[in-house]
Amino acid sequence: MTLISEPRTAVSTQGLTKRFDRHAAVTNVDLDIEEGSVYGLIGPNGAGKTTLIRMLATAEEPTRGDIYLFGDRLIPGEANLRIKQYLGYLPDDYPLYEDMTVWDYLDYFARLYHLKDPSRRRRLQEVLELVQLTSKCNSRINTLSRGMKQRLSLARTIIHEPILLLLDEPVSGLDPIARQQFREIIRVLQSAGMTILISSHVLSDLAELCTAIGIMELGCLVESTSLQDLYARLGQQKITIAVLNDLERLTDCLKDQAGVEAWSVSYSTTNQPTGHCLVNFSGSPDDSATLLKNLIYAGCQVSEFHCQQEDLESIFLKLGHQQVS
Amino acid sequence: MVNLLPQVLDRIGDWNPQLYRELKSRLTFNKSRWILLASLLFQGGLIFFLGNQLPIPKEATEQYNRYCFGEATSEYYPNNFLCTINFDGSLQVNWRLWGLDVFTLLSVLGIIALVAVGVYLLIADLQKETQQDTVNFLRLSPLSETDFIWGKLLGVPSLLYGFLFTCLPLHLISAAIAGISFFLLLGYYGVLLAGAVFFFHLALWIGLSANGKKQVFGETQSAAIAGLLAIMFVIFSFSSAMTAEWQPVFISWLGLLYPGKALNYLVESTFIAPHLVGYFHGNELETLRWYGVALFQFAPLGMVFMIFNFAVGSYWIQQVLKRRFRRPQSTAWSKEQSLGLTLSFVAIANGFLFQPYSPNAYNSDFLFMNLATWQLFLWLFFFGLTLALLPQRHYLKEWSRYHHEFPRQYRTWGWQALHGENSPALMAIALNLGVTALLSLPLLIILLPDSLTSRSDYQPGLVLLGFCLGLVWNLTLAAFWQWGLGRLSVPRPLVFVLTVIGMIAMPVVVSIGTRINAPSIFWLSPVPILALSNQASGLFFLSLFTQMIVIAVSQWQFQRYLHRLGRSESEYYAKALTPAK
Repeated sequence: MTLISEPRTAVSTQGLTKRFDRHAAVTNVDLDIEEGSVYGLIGPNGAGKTTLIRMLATAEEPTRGDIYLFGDRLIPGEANLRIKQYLGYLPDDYPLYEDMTVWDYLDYFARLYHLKDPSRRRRLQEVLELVQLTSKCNSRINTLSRGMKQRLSLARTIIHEPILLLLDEPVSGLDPIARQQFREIIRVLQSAGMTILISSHVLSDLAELCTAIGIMELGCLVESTSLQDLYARLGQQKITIAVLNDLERLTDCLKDQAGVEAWSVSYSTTNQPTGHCLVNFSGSPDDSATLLKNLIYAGCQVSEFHCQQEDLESIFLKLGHQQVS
Repeated sequence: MVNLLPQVLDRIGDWNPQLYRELKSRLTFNKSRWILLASLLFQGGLIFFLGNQLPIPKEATEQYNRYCFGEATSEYYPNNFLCTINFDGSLQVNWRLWGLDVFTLLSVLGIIALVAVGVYLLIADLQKETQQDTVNFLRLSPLSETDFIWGKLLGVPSLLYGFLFTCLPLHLISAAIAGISFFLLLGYYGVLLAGAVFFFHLALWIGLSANGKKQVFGETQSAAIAGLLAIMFVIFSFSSAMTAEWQPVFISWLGLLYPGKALNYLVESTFIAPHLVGYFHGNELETLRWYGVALFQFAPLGMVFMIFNFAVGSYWIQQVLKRRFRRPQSTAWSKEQSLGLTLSFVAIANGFLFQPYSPNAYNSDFLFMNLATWQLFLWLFFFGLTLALLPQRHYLKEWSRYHHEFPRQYRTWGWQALHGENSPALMAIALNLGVTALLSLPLLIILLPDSLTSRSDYQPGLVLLGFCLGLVWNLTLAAFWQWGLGRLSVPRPLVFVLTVIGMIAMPVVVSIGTRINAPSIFWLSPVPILALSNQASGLFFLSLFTQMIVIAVSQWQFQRYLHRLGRSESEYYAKALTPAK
């Protein structure tokens, strides 16, 4: 008999609600995140992403509802020291002790999480290497650039090897190179087995990193599913076809093809019949191969045939979510 | 030594990471060097100043000096003596007195430096952390509250400790010259440390209150601090008025919060004649009694009591710090904790109520003022406690909205009244008042008749009535402000100050309005005992009746308001209601 272990639930919330006076920041959220996954949280400003993450990080008490992290219930008003030991939280505004050196800062936080020498020293070197700040270990924090500070904050967040990482807009304000470095670090952490919840407005980053996505709107979690499922349900496959001869022949051919839903054409120049056609396609890969074969049999001189999935940003915008006014 | 420091810090860091962080950023070679230099300059300056007061060896002319042994100049200058010479021609100098002067000056300056500078450093440090928002990070870590508190207490003033530590040799040497008992000196250090811990806890409270509300003084608990400061102000005013004609009174208790009181014992132990010393005229603590026991006549017992006094205060402030560290906007104490606080506070305070006055008319007045200040003190304590126990409006709203969803055993009225974190606090305050009555009434019943034998116009029964009416005043204010603060977002320190002013002004206004000049107008004040010298009057019943009405109306209105707060959004929409504000 073989035992197949099902993935554990890393984060589970039941009816989670947070109200600030009459304003409901988070309403009745039931969230489940599987262990080892990278969960992206998206939504317009004021949708309640930060409040939700803050509640998971124990920085905010829920008005009602329960939070379970790896099966342990967060008890409001109590220290929850055991849970904090395996939790790493990086807020969007990350205060630092500017007067300390990089090494002393990380050393202090390592001690806060009860790391003892020699493993503490080893861990400090590991994280400095991971965030590429080894050369800056004796520099004062106030001399670091914004990207370095962000990476230092991430190092501080993972110094105690948390198994759940909560990152609230970690790449906001970073240049493309810094973002690329950050993505690499997240991949390393994911491969190390950490469960990561990340909120960001840079949806292309999330599309690269995440295995699951949650969409928040007006305090509610309106969508929570795997990235594949989201693409399958809401994403539109597009095929770009360029021809060197008559475009009308191409459009005639498209009429009877399986999976072809609609198309739009654009001519190369006004007096030429050549150009390309953007097809909304819902068929399988086999259907797209058949489509290409049929076009060629029909005499279309196909110079480009390119399938692409609609990106996360388009899906999100297409959903037309409301923003808190 | 320089190489040893990192190792010591490393060890400290394993024990308390917060202390490690504080020391690491402060104990630098440069700063330590400056501190050592400042300490040496200070000690040199002090020795130079007091050295200049010594007689100068001169020939031929007579000289008079405080540190000589001859006859006094005149009765107007009892501290100036003719200088005499030894057989070898050198001046006879009273080195013990000089040593005592060095010791006393160093001690007093040390107390001020330790407490005042330490409190300043701690508040400034927490304000800086507030601006940087770094305390919130510590809240998210597994750092225990105790480690945070002691890390701050020991670490933030570490350079100050270094400064004082370098002054210690001079302090010990001057004590030895003056002939001060070493064990009493150790006791004094104990009192000083206990006092510093108490005031530093207070500073952290202020700092954490600021942290919670993003302002210099937090709302709820700084009201309690304001009360404490007001009380201390009263004490210092009294103390300054009392010199040789010192009479022990109730608020002498708060004088024990000044660590310098213990210096009396040390000066006494030198056996230098009081007229030579010229300060600390006798030991005023000797006449003070606690539940009739002359604890303070014995230096060790007196010092132990002072340490105990500080320790109790520090303990209860530490409970606030622990709660505030985890939950910045929580009430200062839980409802259960408030019972313990009241019990310890009233039990200690009541001990100072009856002092050893011989039964004559003059002393009866003293006793009477004692009773009045005791009642005023209790009123201030309870008003501060009320503001500290009333939950923030936001939490009250959440409680009213969702408490029906609590598990059945936590939903009961009794459980919520006594244990509920954000539930209304009136019942808890009533219980605290009950505890006070239980502790105080037997004391008054047993001891009052004997103490008031010489004054027929002060009747024990009326004193009891006045005491009970004072407690009702507290309940009235609690009911009123529970309703008022539920509706209004008024800063609580302001509520405290305005209420105190209102309570003082009310009898005056009524007196002018009704043209009643008799003390019976004090029935309308929170200190009804002051009205007793004029017998009970209709105003007593008027006061009682009015307060009952205020309690009933406030409670009724508050319950209605709670009901409105607890409505769901659906109910508002369904019934087209305006949301409660």
